[in-house]
Amino acid sequence: MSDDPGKPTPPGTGTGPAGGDAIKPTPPARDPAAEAAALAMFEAEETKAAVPAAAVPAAAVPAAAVPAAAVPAAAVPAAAPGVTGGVKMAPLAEPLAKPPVVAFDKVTKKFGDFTAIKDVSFQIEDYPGRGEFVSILGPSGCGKSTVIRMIAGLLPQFPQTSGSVLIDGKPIFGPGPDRGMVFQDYTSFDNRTVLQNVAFGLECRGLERAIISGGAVRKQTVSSFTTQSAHGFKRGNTALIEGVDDASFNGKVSVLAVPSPTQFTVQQEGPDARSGGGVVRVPKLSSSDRYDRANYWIEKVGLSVGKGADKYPHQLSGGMRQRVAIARTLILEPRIILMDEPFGALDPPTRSRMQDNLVQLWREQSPTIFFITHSIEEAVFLGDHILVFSNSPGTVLKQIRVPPPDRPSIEMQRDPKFQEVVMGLRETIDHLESSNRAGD
Amino acid sequence: MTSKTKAKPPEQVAAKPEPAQGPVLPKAPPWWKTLRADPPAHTRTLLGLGFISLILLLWWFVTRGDEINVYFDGRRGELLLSLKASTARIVSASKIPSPGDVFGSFGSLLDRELGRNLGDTLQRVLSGVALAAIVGVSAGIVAASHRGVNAAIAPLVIFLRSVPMGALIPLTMLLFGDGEGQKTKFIFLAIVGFVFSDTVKAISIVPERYVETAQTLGASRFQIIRKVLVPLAIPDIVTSLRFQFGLALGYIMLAEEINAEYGIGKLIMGSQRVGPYEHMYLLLFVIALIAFTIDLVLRTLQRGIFPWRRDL
Repeated sequence: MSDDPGKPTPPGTGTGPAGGDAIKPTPPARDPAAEAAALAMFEAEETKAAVPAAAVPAAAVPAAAVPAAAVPAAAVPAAAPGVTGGVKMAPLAEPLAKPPVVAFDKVTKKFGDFTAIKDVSFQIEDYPGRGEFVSILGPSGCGKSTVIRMIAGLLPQFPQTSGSVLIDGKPIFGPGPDRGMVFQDYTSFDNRTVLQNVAFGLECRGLERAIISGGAVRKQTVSSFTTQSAHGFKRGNTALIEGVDDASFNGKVSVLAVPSPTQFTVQQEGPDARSGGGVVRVPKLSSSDRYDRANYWIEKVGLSVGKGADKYPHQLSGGMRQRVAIARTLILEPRIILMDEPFGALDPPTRSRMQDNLVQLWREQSPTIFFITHSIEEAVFLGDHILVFSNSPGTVLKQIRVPPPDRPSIEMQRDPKFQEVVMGLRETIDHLESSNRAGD
Repeated sequence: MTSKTKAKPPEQVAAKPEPAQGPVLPKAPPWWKTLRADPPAHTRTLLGLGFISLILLLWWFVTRGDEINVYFDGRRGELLLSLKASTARIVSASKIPSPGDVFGSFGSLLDRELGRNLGDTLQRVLSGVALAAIVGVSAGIVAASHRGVNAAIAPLVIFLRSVPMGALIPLTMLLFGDGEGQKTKFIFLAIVGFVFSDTVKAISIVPERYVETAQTLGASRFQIIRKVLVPLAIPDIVTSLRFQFGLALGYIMLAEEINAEYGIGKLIMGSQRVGPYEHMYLLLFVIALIAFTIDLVLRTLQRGIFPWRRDL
């Protein structure tokens, strides 16, 4: 992630005092040694050292996160800094050669004369078994929302005026359930109970699972499909298969057998072949099936099914509503989750609890998360990849890698090392912003 | 309506205890000193009943006693004055009958087939409103979702809404004759424009973020209309229909006064022409009572059907 299209002025050379930070009258930016120490853990990551595993007490990281955290170190050198969007999907499961999950290349969006974002370029790579947590930091009106609404495919930010936005190497055509979104405003449907809110997506689209590349294999008249995550299909379900690279796999099928949680077979005429990509969808789920799944996710986000499932949104607190919004998104197991300041309106204790819950969910489901926030602490705690945006027109000033969270939010934020990191980042942002302003 | 938690009874305000022992607790100002504060529920009821009683009392006062009649006896060539009682009546019985006479005439009103007349009137209003609801709401949903349709029919709707009700009666008689169909269609034409506009408005004010959320959850355009826009807008649409029903009850009187065999409007017209006058007044009360009851029933239903809307 050394792709740094902003102004790559090295930190520590700032001339002005830290603008927004009155607490620290003597910025450590004056002291190159201290600054270097503070930023060492991130900068090192930027140069592709396996910092997370080394800097973080290994015991504190849940087993699932450790191998994942170690992977980027090995994987990153293989990825070219340029856009690899044009690369055709590999025939075999070879994640390192896959196009990035999200790739922005010189993306500009204009509204009339106003330029919301200009030449935004970044890539979020695809690592096996673990999506990145990307925090997006920046002042108000710097185009953070423009970027994630563009990924979501929502008007009027979508489509871009120029440049290319690729998801898994393919352009976006509009909103879809593969890119879940959690808004800052409470968006629970007022007329639906918690349970009905969470089940909304399943009601609309049914159950949808991505097919891994090389996951579609046909021998004689039986095709076997391997899905990215446990599919939960049953024998006899009617499924639609769409978008597999070899189109002869696509169509309406009936599930013949389920040999493993991520695999199912169907009867399908055609020549022997092997392909992948695309999605499989069971469009009609029984309501009991839907509600079973919804209940599972309600518990998962820390709500009580017994007490809360039949409540209407107006009976819930802000934190609970955001939990509903998160559950409603996660139930579709999207590949990418876009969060636009979801905790912005919450009080600090609730916010900390929500952060911890989010980290836990992220580890379990491992989507790629884009998380907009104004809080540097939140960005550093949650993220393992931070995009720093600047103002008018919005552009990526800097990309920084930080170790993923290994402790509960409150505990981690008390750590002096964490504080140092936040301060260092604040210096960097202040410096980058002031030098950016000077350049205008 | 957030009715306040049981406020203290009013008489408690005056009584001041002897010199306070310990710190004096500040008191919240009473509702009548607080702008936009609702009185407690029972006070509201009392105030409402009190005001109506006041009007009834005034009515009784101006119509009490008996008439002083001044008339000219042509045969004798004399101006005669007849004073029938000791108390002079302020307003003549030929203008306003006394409350006793009005309510006392209920029996004779029943004899004039009140039930049948009422039934006919309600049936006309209901079928007219139902027709307007079916056409206006569905057209409104389509127009609100696809603004091109709205742009196309908006001028027609503005025209419909500004046509005077009275002018519609001869028109509908010309087009649809003078049967029940004419009255249903008159009510339909009178309110369909308003039902349409209110539906468009109700759907338009559903915040865009709900639509965006539904889109990111994979809902198709049709699903967004069916599962998001319409369910969120329907309470407001029902409120609009409730209001239109009240108005339609007024409009039907016009149509019935002009041509109808049965109907409350016909009864009122008859009472004015051939009497008794008392029935005219009594029928106004009957109409008001019916309208009030139906509104109350619809409102209660609405609250039951849409528990998530606290403002209904």
